[in-house]
Amino acid sequence: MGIAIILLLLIGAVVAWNCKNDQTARKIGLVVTAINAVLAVVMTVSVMNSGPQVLALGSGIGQQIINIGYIECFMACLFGIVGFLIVWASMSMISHDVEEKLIPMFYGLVLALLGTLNAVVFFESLLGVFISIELSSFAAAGIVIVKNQTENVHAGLKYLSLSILGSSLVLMGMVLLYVATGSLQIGGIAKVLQGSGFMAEKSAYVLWAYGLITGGVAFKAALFPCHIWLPDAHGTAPSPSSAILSSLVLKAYIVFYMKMVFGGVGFDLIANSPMRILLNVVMVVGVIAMIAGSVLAIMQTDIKRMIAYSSVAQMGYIFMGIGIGTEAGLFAALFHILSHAVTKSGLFLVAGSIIEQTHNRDLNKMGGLGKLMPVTMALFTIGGLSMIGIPLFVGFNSKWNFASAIVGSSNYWLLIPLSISALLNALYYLPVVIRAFFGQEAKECTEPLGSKERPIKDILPIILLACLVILFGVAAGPVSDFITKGIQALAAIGG
Amino acid sequence: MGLLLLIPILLPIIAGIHILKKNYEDRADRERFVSRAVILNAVIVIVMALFLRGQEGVLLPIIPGNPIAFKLDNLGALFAGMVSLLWILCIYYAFEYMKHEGDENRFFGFYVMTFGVMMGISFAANLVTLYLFYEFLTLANIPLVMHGDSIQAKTATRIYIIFSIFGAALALCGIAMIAFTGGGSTAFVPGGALKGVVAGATVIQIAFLFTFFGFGVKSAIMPFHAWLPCASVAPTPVSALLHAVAVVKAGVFAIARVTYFTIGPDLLRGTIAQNVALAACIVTIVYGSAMALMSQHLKRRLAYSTVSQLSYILFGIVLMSTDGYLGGMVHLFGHAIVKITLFLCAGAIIYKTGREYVWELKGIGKAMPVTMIVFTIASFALVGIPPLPGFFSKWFLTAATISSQGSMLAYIGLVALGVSALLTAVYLFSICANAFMPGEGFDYEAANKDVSDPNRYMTVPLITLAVAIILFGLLISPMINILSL
Repeated sequence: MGIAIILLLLIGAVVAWNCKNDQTARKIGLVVTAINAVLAVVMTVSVMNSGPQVLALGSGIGQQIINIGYIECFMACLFGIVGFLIVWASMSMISHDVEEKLIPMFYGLVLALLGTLNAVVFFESLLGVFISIELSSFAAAGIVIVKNQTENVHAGLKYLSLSILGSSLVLMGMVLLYVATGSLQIGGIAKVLQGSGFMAEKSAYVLWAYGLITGGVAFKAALFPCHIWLPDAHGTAPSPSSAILSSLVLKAYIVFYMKMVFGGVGFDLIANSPMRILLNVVMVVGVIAMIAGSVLAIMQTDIKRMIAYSSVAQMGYIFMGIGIGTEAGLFAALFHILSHAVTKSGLFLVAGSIIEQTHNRDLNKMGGLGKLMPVTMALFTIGGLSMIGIPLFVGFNSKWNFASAIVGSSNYWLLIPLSISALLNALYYLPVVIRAFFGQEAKECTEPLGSKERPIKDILPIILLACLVILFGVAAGPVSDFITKGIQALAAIGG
Repeated sequence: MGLLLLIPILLPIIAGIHILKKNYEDRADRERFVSRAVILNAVIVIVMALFLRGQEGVLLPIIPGNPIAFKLDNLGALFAGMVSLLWILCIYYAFEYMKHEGDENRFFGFYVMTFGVMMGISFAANLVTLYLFYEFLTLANIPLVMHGDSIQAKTATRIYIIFSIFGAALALCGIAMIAFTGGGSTAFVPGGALKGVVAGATVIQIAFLFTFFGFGVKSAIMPFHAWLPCASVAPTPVSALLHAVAVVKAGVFAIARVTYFTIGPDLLRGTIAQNVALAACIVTIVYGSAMALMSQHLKRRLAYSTVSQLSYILFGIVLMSTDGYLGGMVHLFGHAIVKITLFLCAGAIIYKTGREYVWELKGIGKAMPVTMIVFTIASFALVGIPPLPGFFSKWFLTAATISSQGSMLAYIGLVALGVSALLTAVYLFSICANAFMPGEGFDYEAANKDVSDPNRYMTVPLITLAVAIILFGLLISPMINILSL
């Protein structure tokens, strides 16, 4: 079924792109993402019932294996459901940012992007993964450039060039791994790497290979200080694009990296081999990203750039979780992928609504907005509280998972940056909320309540995203169990 | 049955949201609604405290092993009951006081909401639930602290947010450590849930320090005390009820829960962690009193006094003995009614005269006799003149120190208590003396022209509190019985 999802999205992309009429393209976008969401859920149910689905195409070195296990299903559902909600929200927002004649192209690119992201996650063969990564880079840059303003073109090109730098580093790492292990499948690599004595003998090879892949993924997933493209790209792109880029695109590369590290090297070797050094570096850089991203976010005055820098900080959390290198750390990182995806996509769409209705991006001029757009600002508040980590919102579960992972791995010093980071998150989300609802401007605001609110049917998808934030905040149990199963499967790859 | 505990938590929150949405035009309508909601809720709380003790209920499983759950035990019932009674007095006072502050819908909306959040803190059955309401307490307080919208109010809000969120994050780290070492659960068990589960481990000490200083932010332990004096710019009903009782005591309450109901004093007695906590308390006790003496702004002086007095309670708690715990808790309740009285008197003065500095209060005792007599009674109580509340606390704390036979630090703590009592006497009695005995030939007419006691909305709560302070001694032995672990 994995291949069906990829093909559906890619064919949808071609059809949408070739539409003459922007209305038809919108409908195709909506219908295809809806079907994709349903397929992803159906696939998840069938994997839960009858185990992983493996499809092998061809043989020999070019053999392509598509292996749909728990983590793949988790990501497919995320791409499917969050992608659908964002595309739904874009129906009413996109014409604000994108010219009518480019709208078919926009939906074509979005569908192509979702298709390739799914492929990045589904393929077990490094060749297939690499091709998907490259294709997704172009589609991702495309949905930035499609706004067709000078700043977008600049941002998009910056994104594309650094993205290609990233993928070439990944490619070099893959080649090195192939030379060392003679396999291009994650499973095959795992068997060789985790075989007795291999790591002791060839640790330099492996370390170089993983170092290059880490560097490449750092660029693709905007790990500080390789994030320099992200604020420009996410800050200037059309808001639905920003939502997709931050909540979904970054995550696909991270999941690939997790599969390479935890599937390929395995938890045991990570704890007892030179790989530990590499992951320590990842952990420390993740911590720096967590703090630096938030500090940079506090300094912003543009709402979308602030949210974009917040993503840099959140990527830091995820890399810190990976760097901890235990199952609890990986669990925290995977859960945070979900948590960040539902929260951040909502925040970007809210920012888009605010900009569309008030033609203002400046955070300092948003005083009293709570009176004009009460529902929209309430949604922003939910997102902000989740980011700070208030209980009942999904961000709290993330924070708890990270704290537990840190305690479990005895890296107690990490608790201090974790606390500081929670504080920093509060320092850029709460003032916006406070100014909107309580400040002097709110008292002086004379326009009638709700006068700038968008119609409820247009913000319904954002409301649904906020519901997901609360749903996963109060009932994270089932999805946590699912992720745990995925981690067990990953740990078992090397046998 | 346990989920009935949700009623007193949710009722004020819903009532608060209703006030914010309805945006009452008419003051009388709003007052009727607020007083009905608060009194009804207080009655529910007291009925539950009397008849539902021991009930527990689970609401939502947000984290494995740590669901959102409620339980009504003796400490929680007593705390909730006291808070409810004080809330009733304070809303009547606030009806009158807030007339000159304005924007009353927002004020009462969040003031009432905070009541529900406090009930959540009292009824929480584990640390995660406690943490949830603790965060909500921070958030619900933000609009109250920044009510005036002045530059000072904005700065105070910023400082308040920084301290509170950072403190909560530290506390959460501690909670995560406790949960990890204790096998997942952080439910409250008298005497400590971890007792017997884990041997004295370093992790437990680190966890204790994280929670002590994390929750300690709300109870203004050094070096996290700075927000409390700043927050005295808030309207007086907020300073009195929240920043002398509810919010700050929520911090103390949480530390008591961690120490005596989760980790257990046995695991902490004699450890480095205990000494660090004791040292922080001792420094805060002396520092707070000294700063109070130096502050000339009346509400700031009282705020620094709170900083010092809260550490009395914490000192009792970290003695890690049952006597220390009881001494701390007696002081928790005693200080609550005394300090709220002092703040309400200060507010009455500000409301009637607009005077905020100590030197402006010369001879005011003649113009506002009720206010100043109540203030004097409360001062005597705080200094610790028998048979008023402060005396009992000091008695129990001293007895606990001696019986615990702890480290040198505990005895140094006794010296600190003595020094602080002296300083307290100086910074409070100087006000009373000035008010009643301004000196020979003082021209009362010129100094306090047109100044008089406020109306009954303010004086009735003040007199009620004064009577409560005088009769507090009668409650000591039943309280000790109820609180014994």
